[in-house]
Amino acid sequence: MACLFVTCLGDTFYPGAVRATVNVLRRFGVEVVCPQDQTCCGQPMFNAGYFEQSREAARYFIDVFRRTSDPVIAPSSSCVSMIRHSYSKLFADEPDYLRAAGELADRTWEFSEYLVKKLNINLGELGARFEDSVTYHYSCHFRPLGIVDEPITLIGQIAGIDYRPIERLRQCCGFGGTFSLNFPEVSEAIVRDKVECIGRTGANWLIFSDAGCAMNITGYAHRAGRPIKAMHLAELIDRSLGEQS
Amino acid sequence: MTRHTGFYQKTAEASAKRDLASKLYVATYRQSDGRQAICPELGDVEHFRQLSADLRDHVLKNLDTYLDRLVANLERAGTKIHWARTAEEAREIVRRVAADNAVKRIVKSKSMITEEIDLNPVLEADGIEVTETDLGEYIVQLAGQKPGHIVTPAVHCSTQDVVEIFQKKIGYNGPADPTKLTKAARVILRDKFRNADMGISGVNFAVADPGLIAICTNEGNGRYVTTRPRIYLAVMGIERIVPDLEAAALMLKMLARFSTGQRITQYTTFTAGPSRDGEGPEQVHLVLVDNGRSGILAGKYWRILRCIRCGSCLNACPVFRHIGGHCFPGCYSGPIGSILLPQLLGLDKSFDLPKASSLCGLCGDVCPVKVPIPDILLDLRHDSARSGYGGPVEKIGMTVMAKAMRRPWMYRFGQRAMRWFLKPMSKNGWIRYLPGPPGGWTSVKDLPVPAPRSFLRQWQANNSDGQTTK
Repeated sequence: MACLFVTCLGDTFYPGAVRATVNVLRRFGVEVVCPQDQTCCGQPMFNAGYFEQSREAARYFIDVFRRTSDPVIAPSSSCVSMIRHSYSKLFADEPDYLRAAGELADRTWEFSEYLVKKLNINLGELGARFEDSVTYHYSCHFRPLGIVDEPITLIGQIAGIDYRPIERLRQCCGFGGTFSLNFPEVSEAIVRDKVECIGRTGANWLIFSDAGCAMNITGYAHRAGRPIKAMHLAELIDRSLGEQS
Repeated sequence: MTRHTGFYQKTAEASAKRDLASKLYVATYRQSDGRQAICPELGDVEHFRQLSADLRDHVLKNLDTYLDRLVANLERAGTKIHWARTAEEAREIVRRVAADNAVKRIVKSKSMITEEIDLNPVLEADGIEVTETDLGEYIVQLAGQKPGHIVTPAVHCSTQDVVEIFQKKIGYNGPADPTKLTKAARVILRDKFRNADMGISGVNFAVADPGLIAICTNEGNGRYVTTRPRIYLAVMGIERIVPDLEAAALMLKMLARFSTGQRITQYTTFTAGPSRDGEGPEQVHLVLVDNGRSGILAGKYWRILRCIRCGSCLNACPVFRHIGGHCFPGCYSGPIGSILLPQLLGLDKSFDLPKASSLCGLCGDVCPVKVPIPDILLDLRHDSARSGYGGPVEKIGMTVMAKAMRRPWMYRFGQRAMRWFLKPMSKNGWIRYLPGPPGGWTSVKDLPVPAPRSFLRQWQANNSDGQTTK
């Protein structure tokens, strides 16, 4: 049993990625529940420095997810990083929520992390196949989670796939939440680099793990007149495992 | 709209310069690739970072003790100690030393602290010729600019830029060849060294026991500055102390590796005091500068003082790579500048700096002394929000968002309202223009239209019991 943390950007902009997350987990025998009253973890306010406002959202988030003791799984590294690392800062002076946040942090997982570190999935043994070229965008928030090459390991297990490594894999795409609104020109310059690196791979697909990065990269690419086809890692895995479920 | 300081405009202009970005790209990656290549030699890098952070903390917590020891040991060796509370006091001290000794010409080794206290202009106003002898700093001085990077001041100059500066300022007429350019500078600088009355340097570390002033350079000019003129004057921030030589060895190991990807800098020069055998300076002065440091030490951001100015965070930063150092309202730039300058200038004049980060976290990960830069960036954003520097629109937006996030009906209503509002403005699923704060996004990128049905609505429609899927 697992509890789905949809994430507000995933819910609003990438429901297909969240659906694929559920599909993949169910393929591996994980029953998925989804609290209907969940909203957002509070990261947008937190990163903008509005800690009091963020705390309101975070308290509510904890109240929703403390109702279960199942692992909480999200298709986003930055949201998981918020729960795992930032809640302890937000609730330093609230012992009850601090304890609940710590308990929640211990059972919150990013999608690919759960597949590799918990379920020990090997897609190769499961007959995963995808006949196209892909490159992968590494999210910065994987670093604090200790996720290095797990998503690429999964991609490498898919038969028929033509994985094209990107230059400067660990380089940020320039999203950064409110940063991209407050410093649009700098954000644009950074994402231009990223889009050029993606272009040089020649891959047909960009595989991503965070909705924020995806909106930023594809949004810039579309404006620049060189649209990028992108899908979440969960969608790639779901597709590669074929029509079943 | 979000409020900005003048910094914002400068970042916008700098990031439009693609030639600047390509120069910064080459230089910053050369250094950060160097760091990544050489650091694994240490073995457990994390262990060394923790050791270094602990060492810096130990010094900062016992700063008074170590300063006393350093001063006593240096005085015993004949070095004259001066204390400066402010930048102005520091400048006056140097002016006085120069005046007392009828100094006409000064040669300098690259130093951030003398940039911080803005030393050169007051000396020049006194009619003294001041020459920067670090090649990068010399280029920048000739061009009438400020250093563009903490460690590599001419990071923003290409070889061709240097040719143009040298043609205009020192009559260079050779090719665009770094070796030839260096030789041209060397001829001029040799002459400056020979005729200088006083040498000025910063201090990478001062060793409390035995009292030593250490500077690290790669060109050897620094050693010349400390030994050739009859007076040597060093300026240091009061926090740059290590207890003993063993601690100095650790810091040197970390500084060179994290800064330029070297095992050790080409020259590491130690000075205790004036010459005892007639070779070297007759007088050695050390100016200990506080300039806000004791205030930082007493406050919640004291960990900033761990910084050893290696520039590693600048080299790793995706933002710095596009805006360079000249946007910053002070000599410190990049991630460390974004947290240090608000301490030196006041947050009211610099609240934009901590916001100019995508919070990718690399600055914290590559710091040899574990300054928690991303954490401090966030705390400074919080200070700025509490002081209302973000402006009323931002604050109201965040407050409404928080209210909606703890009321699922409001969250869903907001989500649907967003689609109702955005859908008519879109074309083929993309929005090209938005008014208000989100307009920052659409000024440079398209925004996807929210999906027709959110995931949670789809789930609800498919699972009336909310437990299973499909």
